[in-house]
Amino acid sequence: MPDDDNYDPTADLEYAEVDDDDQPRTSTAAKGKHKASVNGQAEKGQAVWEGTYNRSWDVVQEDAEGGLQSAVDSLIARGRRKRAEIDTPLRRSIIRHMFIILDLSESVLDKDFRPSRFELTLQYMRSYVVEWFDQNPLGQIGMIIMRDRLSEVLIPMGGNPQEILSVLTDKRKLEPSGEPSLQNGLVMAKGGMSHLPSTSSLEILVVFSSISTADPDGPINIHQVLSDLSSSRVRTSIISLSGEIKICRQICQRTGGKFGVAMDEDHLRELLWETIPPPAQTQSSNPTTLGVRNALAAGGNRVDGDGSRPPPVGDLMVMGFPVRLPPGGETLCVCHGLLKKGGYLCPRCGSKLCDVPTDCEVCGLMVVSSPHLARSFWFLFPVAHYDALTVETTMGDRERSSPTCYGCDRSFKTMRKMFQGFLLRM
Amino acid sequence: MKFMIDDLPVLFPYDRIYPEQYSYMCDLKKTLDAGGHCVLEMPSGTGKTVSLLSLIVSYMQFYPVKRKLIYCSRTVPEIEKALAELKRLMEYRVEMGAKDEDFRGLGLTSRRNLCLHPEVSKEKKGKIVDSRCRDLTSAFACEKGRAEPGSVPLCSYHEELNNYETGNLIPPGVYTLDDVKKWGQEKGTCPYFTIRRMMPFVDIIIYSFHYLLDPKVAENVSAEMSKESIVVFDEAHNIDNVCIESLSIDLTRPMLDSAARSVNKISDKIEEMKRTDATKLQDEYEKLVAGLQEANERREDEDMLASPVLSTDLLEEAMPGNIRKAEHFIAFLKRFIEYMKTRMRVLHVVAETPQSFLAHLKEITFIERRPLKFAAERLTNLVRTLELTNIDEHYALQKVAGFGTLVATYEKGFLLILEPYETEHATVPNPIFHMTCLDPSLAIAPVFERFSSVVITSGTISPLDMYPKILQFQPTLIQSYPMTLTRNAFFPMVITRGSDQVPISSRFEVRNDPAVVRNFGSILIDMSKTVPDGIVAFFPSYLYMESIVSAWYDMGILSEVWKHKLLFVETPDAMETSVALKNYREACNNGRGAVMLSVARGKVSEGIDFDHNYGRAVIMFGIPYQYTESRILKARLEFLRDNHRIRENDYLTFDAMRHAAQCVGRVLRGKTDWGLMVFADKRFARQDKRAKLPLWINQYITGAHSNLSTDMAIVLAKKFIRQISQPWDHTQTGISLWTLEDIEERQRKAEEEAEKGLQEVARIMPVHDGEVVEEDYGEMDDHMLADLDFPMDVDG
Ligand code: SF4
Ligand SMILES: [Zn+2]
Ligand SMILES: [Zn+2]
Ligand SMILES: [Zn+2]
Repeated sequence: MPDDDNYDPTADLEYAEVDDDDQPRTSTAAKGKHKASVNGQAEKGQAVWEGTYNRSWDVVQEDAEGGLQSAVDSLIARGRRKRAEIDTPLRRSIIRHMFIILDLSESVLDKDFRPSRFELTLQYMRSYVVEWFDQNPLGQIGMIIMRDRLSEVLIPMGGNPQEILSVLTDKRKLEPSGEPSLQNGLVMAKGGMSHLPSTSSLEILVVFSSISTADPDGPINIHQVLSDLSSSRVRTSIISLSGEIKICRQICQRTGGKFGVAMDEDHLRELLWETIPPPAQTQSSNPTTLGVRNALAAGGNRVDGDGSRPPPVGDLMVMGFPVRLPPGGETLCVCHGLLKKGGYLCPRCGSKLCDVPTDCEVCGLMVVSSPHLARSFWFLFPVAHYDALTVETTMGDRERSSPTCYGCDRSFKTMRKMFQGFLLRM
Repeated sequence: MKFMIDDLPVLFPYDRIYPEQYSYMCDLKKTLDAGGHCVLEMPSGTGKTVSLLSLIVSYMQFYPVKRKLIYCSRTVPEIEKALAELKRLMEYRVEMGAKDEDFRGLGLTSRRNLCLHPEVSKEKKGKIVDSRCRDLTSAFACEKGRAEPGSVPLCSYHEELNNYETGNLIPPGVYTLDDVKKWGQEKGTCPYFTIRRMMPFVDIIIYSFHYLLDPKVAENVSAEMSKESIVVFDEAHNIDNVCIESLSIDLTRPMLDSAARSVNKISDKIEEMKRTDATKLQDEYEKLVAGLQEANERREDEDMLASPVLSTDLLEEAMPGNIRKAEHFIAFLKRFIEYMKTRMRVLHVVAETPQSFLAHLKEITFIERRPLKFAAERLTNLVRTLELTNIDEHYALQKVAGFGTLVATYEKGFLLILEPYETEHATVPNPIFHMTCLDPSLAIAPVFERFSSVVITSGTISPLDMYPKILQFQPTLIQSYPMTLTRNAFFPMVITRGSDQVPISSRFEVRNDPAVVRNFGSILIDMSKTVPDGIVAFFPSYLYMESIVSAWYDMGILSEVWKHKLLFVETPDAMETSVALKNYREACNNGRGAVMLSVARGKVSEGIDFDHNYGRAVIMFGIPYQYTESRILKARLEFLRDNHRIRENDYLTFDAMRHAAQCVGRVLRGKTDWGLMVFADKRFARQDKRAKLPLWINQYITGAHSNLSTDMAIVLAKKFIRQISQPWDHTQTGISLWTLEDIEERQRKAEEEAEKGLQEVARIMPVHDGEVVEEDYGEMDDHMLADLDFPMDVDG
């Protein structure tokens, strides 16, 4: 600690106590199994120094100003409860297309998140993608990175988590540098989704580390990009690692996304994971129901009712179940233009596709497999609002209580233990 | 909402109230009840204006005594804001059934802002607008123009007013400046004169300090205000400077030259008049001989002709004989100007008292004190007699005459200083002759004498007891209010050293030390990486800012900052600065972020608000001490020490800290706002400095945040910003926002407490008041009484 004599004695006392408090946090940091860095010794030394430094400081601060931290904590908890309590029937989209925009500017090298903003973001992204596809089997993700005031598509929109994971592990391609341009990132994402039907939910998720965006001077500015996004209903959520930036908050508010500022590693994870469940659809004010025939004729593509207004989201859409090819000889696929083994045939036009779910390159049909679809339904019928019962209350009525759930036949762990207890005693 | 303070029902136009607003109103009422003056400090952004207005209006309307409110603010936008607030309040009062039909509220500003005349209003300079307006509206112009239409151009807006009945040029109600202009456009009447002529009839007038403090205008504008009026000086932390400026005059060489030209022109005019219309001059002369002063029938077109001395110091005597004749007066002026010109040739600094100046003057030119005293007034007479137009041409001459009058009128509290060079290192002389007032209490004394209640208030007016001292008045109440917040929305911290542990300071000896400059630079870099959107940084002076910015440029610090934020610099040029501010705002809105480098005591630090994303942090680089080598400052300090017993150092620190507070206060403009306040100088850590900050800022500087190095500060700042960025419900009531119930609850508690206190008092010290004593006596047993050992002379 530099200049210890500047602390008042009470602060030092607090400092002594901190270490216990500190344990869970350090372990969080350690959870990321990534070794500090190549630079070994020096880096590590510094990291340790920074660690104690930050932490002790955290506590002195908390103590000194009392209210803020605890107030914020309680607020977060309240928010969580509220979310759990929402029991109005919502319309959720199961077909999601999301561009994840990663900030790879120099600012991600900051070590205020352990082990560093960069490492942590990549690490979270890997588990995030897996979790996301698990819960949104019909969804597709693309990835864009921002650095040197430019943006580039890292991974085009697709439904294959493995592909994304392999790119995310290859750090050579992800070297951070320069400043980000949020505007370029958003424009690119928007462009990458322009061909998609409005029946699916279009989303952008930005993990923004920098404190500012260095946008090009040009004919368009970020405010125009923002109105573009909001008129084409691209829900944009931004998670900032630094603080409340006005334009970011505005973008999120106007496009119906969420804006969050991560306070620490856990909170960042929480904010990210909040975006995994399919978002609730904003019910359009007058649902112009399209005739089924219309929808079919349009092949699931955008049908412009009167041209002026985008069709209401979430009406009928067309999907096809593909024929799976045996893993025999190599044929040319339409999605990559390569000779590959296996794959699926589009039920409408018969083109070969590598992976489902996807939109057929040739006829635009959405091609999904039935298990995917089935799993997606999970979110369409959420568990009804229920009261939590304790084991004790149910135990009183042994006739009615059973060791397994009547709906899914899963066993209640605690119940079983208690039953076992009963059985042994009898 | 409507609530009671003692017996006074107060209508407050919002249904929530901040606790500090409530206490502010209570204290205001106390002051008004007592009929005294007060100094109140309330945090910026907590609705000071609305509390003030709603209490005073309630007060005015509830009690039968007819009182007026004179509300002085600093800038036109602030006046406009206050008027809008008042308008809202009155609308609310009507809604609530208050009987305010005849209530009138107006604001006054210069002709330049109000003029509707198609040509005159296009002029950029206030002086020229005034002068051109005068040509179109002066008494003699009107007389002539009306007698034979078309002979003299008149302003139709001014003429139109004659069709309205006096005292009802505009219907009752509250009008913002814009409203009056709109009304004027509709009816074809002049907004400026509408307001001026309505002044005796309004209940509330809102205008700038000058109309009350500057004798050059106060006499004309504010003379009719009744003694019962309540006077409020808002944003009054600089009131002493306004007072001093209003009694000081500076002369330069070009001004003297221009004055000499004016004198020649006037002299020609006199010759001409002698030939054509000699009776007029003769009339004037006779009037002056008779000592008939026109002063009593002052006319409204003469703001720019008024005397520069306080009305109480104007002598009620006849004009001295040797300047009664116009040509004599002209010769007199010529001599005086020549004398001043010779004085200006001196190449070393001269400081002298008015007495010694007069003695020397007499020796050389035989000009006596008495006629000199009348110089300004005599000039006014002459201008009127000659029916001069375009008097802005004679502006310099007026100044010279005013200078003479000031010198001859005041002995104490003034000093003459001749500075031959503009700066220390200048080689070309550019002399300035200052007639400077040293005593701020002079200009404000008539205000305190005349009005029973004067309220001095601001967001940053600490230390409060300094103001009664320098302005020489007895306050009945001085109070500073803390800021109640449910979350700490602003975070003041003191950085005393860089990450390398080198102490930082703007002290003269070290300020240009590369280590200090670099450390200041790294604070800026780190802050620009950490703080979103806008940052405002303040330097003690332009000079220092220039030198540090160029050093930063060489060190590559600016390009590092540039990566994260754009950079803008305040310059003494108002136009440039406003362009810079516009671009700064844009950068704060589009996410690029920006840093505004500005100067304490500059335009930006005084009048511009950096609310929300326009200012998430303000950095105070160094302590904004005044330039202590300035001779005027030295003289002032000496005066304060000798006459008001204020130590030099106390005053300097006070002055520096009030400007620092003013600067950092720029970022927090309300309770929903948030921001960092960074004090970067090791001297801020000292208690004697910090104690001079306003309570509401000092309250949040904890011991742990008062002595930080840059890296620690950044860690804290990061944490603060992340926490404050979490979503927050601003409508929570109870702690920092009260509903009606909260107020009543509080009042009940206060009452209970008071009662308890009373009982307590009664219990230990039975009063000679029949009933109370009897009751208490009954409750007390003998044993207790014995214990208390009180004189038992109570006759139950
Ligand atoms: S009378 Fe009014 S409108 Fe006419 S010139 Fe003067 S200020 Fe302007
Ligand atoms: Zn393929
Ligand atoms: Zn197809
Ligand atoms: Zn179940």
